[in-house]
Amino acid sequence: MGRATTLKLVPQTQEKHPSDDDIKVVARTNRDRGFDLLVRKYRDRIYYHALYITKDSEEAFDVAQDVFVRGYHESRLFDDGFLTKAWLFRVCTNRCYNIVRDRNRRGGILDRLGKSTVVLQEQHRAIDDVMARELTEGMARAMEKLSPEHRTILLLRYFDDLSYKEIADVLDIKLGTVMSRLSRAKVRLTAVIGEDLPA
Amino acid sequence: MNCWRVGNLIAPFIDGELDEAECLAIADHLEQCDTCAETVEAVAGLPDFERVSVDPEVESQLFEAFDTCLAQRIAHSLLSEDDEELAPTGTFGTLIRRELKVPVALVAAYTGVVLLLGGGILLNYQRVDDLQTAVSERDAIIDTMRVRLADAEAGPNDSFLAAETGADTPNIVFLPAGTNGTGLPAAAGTTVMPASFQLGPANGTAWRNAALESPRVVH
Repeated sequence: MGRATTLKLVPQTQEKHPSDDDIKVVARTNRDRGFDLLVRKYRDRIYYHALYITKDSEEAFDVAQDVFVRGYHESRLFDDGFLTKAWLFRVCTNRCYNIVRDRNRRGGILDRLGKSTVVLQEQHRAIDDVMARELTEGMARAMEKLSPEHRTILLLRYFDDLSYKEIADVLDIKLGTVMSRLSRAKVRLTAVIGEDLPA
Repeated sequence: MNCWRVGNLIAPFIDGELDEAECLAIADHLEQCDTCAETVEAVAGLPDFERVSVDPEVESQLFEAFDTCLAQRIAHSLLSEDDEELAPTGTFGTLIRRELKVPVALVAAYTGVVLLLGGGILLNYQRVDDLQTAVSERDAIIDTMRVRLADAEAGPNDSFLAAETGADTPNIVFLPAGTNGTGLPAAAGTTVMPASFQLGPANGTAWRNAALESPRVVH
């Protein structure tokens, strides 16, 4: 079925990547080669997915790393029938919301202390600046006014370009629930943008 | 199709994720319901999200570092979990192996030395045990042989036969009751075979029956 994309959050990568099935075929003979292809295919999408939830480049970087470390140790990762893409986004989403919840509970300043990643400070700062500007205007700002549930499903659909079935697998909900939640989220987003428009 | 149902299907309707029958049902409803039609029109008109305009050079540096950091973290996770099954071997493993090279080599060398020493010691212990067992068995055999030799040198317990024949190996002679083989009455202290024992095959008595009675001593 065709799809009319109305939101485009994701930085579309120009690089051509093999399909997940092709990666699994490679992984059967050389697991690390398959893992290498998987990382190159999904690292930026996982990172940006985490970035839009955490709003912090360094945390998003750490989360994306965690996701792939877990993936490396996941024995089913290249099994036939295993939903690799959905698994990556599910782990990433859960990890991000754990971080956001902990941050809200303990306060952001404490979270900044003792962070493991000390490299790329300049790059992280540059991306955080871009994110901060994004969040003060347009669609990103409107998204911030949605509930986490609505924001997540919009991200998964229009930012990460996941199919309805993949979203159902990521969120562990029924296909019908994906349709209704996504519809309600878009209606709500439309309303929020309408509220923001100058009278 | 009602308004509530349409509200739940707006997104898949716009995204083209519904089958033809559902699409036609929604279209019919939209022709009759202005509220739903306006909502669908508004949702369909949502602007595209603008991309995060990250400097390509910054992004490139970030993801180059991503691979290196990931290799380090996987290497550390492998060391901490000692997961040998997932030891890196492929292209991506090159970076990981670089991280693992020195510690793994040290651990392998140490383990090898320990195994060699431990194996040698165990082997030697096993050999000593085997030798000790063999010596014990040999000593037991020697003792048994000594006892048998001593018994053989001491002669048979049946002294009355030895005394009569004067030979090491008793030459059993069956005599008439009450005789000592010389035709004289048995001397005091001489062992005399019981009567049944003196009945041999000549008179039809089985030899094996004789052994059931003990010799008697004449006083």
